[in-house]
Amino acid sequence: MISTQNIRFEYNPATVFEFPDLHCADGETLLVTGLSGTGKTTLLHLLAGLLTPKSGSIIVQNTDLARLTGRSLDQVRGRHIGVVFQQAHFVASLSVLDNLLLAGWLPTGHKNPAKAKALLDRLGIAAQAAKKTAQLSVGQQQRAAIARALMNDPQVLLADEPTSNLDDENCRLVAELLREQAQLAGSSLVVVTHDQRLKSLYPNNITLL
Amino acid sequence: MIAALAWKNILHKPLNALLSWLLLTASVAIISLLLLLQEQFQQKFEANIQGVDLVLGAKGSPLQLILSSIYHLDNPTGNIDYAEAQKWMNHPFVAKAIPLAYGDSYRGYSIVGTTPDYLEKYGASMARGQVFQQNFEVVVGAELAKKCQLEVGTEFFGTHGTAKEGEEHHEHAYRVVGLLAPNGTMLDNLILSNLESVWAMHETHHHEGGESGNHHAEKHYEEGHHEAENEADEHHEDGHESSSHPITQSPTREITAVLFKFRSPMGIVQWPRLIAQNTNMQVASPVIELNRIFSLLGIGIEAFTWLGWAIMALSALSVFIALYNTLKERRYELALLRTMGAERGQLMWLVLLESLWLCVAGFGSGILLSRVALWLISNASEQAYHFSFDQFGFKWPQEGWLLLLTLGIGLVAALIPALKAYSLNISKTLQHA
Repeated sequence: MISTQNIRFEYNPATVFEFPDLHCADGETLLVTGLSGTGKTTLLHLLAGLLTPKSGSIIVQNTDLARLTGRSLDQVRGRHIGVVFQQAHFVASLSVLDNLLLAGWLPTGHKNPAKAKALLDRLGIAAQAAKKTAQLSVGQQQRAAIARALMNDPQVLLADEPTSNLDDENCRLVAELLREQAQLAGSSLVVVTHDQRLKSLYPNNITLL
Repeated sequence: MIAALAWKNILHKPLNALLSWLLLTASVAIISLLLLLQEQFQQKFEANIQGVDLVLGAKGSPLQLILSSIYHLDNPTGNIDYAEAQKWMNHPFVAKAIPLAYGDSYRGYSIVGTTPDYLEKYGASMARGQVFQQNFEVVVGAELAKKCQLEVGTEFFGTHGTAKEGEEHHEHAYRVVGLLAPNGTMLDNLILSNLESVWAMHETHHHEGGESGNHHAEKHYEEGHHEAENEADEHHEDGHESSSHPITQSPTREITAVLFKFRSPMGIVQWPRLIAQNTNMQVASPVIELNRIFSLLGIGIEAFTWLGWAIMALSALSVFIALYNTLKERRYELALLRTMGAERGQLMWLVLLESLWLCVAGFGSGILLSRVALWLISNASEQAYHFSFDQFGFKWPQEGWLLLLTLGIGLVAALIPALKAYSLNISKTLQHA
């Protein structure tokens, strides 16, 4: 579950963003669309705990991200928030499986290979587990990125422009995949995009102005 | 996990790390090799002069006298008259005087005529057999015995002089009566007999030489011989008749050097001038000559040490550049780690560890390389000088310091990149990816 109230963020006094309140329950999907420059990425970074708002609150798992700093913020981010970026990036020196293990280990201190293998299996890329991420196709990389984001069964799964580079068919497939996986993990799914096609797929949506 | 990741990051881009690793290896190898060489050189040299205050020998270079009489690394300066030397050997200042007579060698190893005191001075113990008593009985050093496969009871012919392929004395065979236990001094590579054996061997040699004319293989013996003759001429007026005797009956009994240990330090102070002014001989102080060698070597060693440090500084720079460059490429990766829950400190640690792993690897391979180099040097000097080094073992604490220093350099080189990783702005980095 994630919800926000009166978030206000400023890069400098001339660039100020005020965002509408959001609410997304466990297993539900929220689409946030908007044109370039409306602060989509800023909002995503705020929701992910990568930026701290000037005022307002962002509640994840009964915790206000806006009031956390340092280690405790890192902890919450790693433990309760999963992010799928537009372009799938990985730790290049590690295999697909090790990337997942690392995502599990960072906030918990424990490796969970059973969980990692189950996720890879669920996303249909179990055969690629031992490969370096650069050896995967773009589609496989996106699946691996989703698997990594779900390693800790996060409260919130955030997706940044997950479909903007895809054709209609693949756009639909990825949108389905994200929703399905978020539901399986019991996470709230928040998708931030300018891709208008997703509006028909995710009925629950907000447009930034 | 962070440590493993750091290691994998190095292996992932091996070319980036290669230069740093090579430079670290080279600098550690040079410094460690010099540490080992210097210490073992000094140890070997100093172990051999213990109990020798002065060395008496024929005039010439004092350094040569020390090198030849104590280390067997050079040709002798010449021979001296035994009767003349004995006057000094019986002097009240003297605690112990050990005469040495060189003449023959076996396969390049010197056969030295001396007294059992020589064995005692080096604290030698017999591994097998007994000390020489009769003429042509010899005791053999441990290393030499192993290399030339000499056993108690083995008989062999000596070669005149120190050349490996020289003229052999076939009149008398030496017989091995004892093997020494290894004791880490020059003794390990020597063959020892009594003085009389050397004289007896060369009596016949002279005799034979007289018959067949100019039949002399070795130069240094000749020099010594001539000197002795000159000496004999000088003493002629005093009624000394050695040169008029038939050679076969009473040859000049010559020795090469005498090692002195004094009862009174007065001797060490007075003798050099006394002997230089009154005799045809000289005394040299092993300590002074040794210091001379070390100060000469010291310049070279110091130059090489500086070279080692310079390469180490270069390797620090190389580590820094490698980390700094890859950090630019990997900023997104680091930001990603932060979104996955990594703390600032963990990123800093990751970058530091990449540098430290390199340094540990460089140190390890450098130490290994220095041992290989020492082994090669040891083999070479063993063949040329019968002088070997021990390439195993860790030189404590100097090499411990070297490890700490290498790691310190790794820390310094990684400091700026590590701080950059620490203060990385995640949001900005992700937006500009």
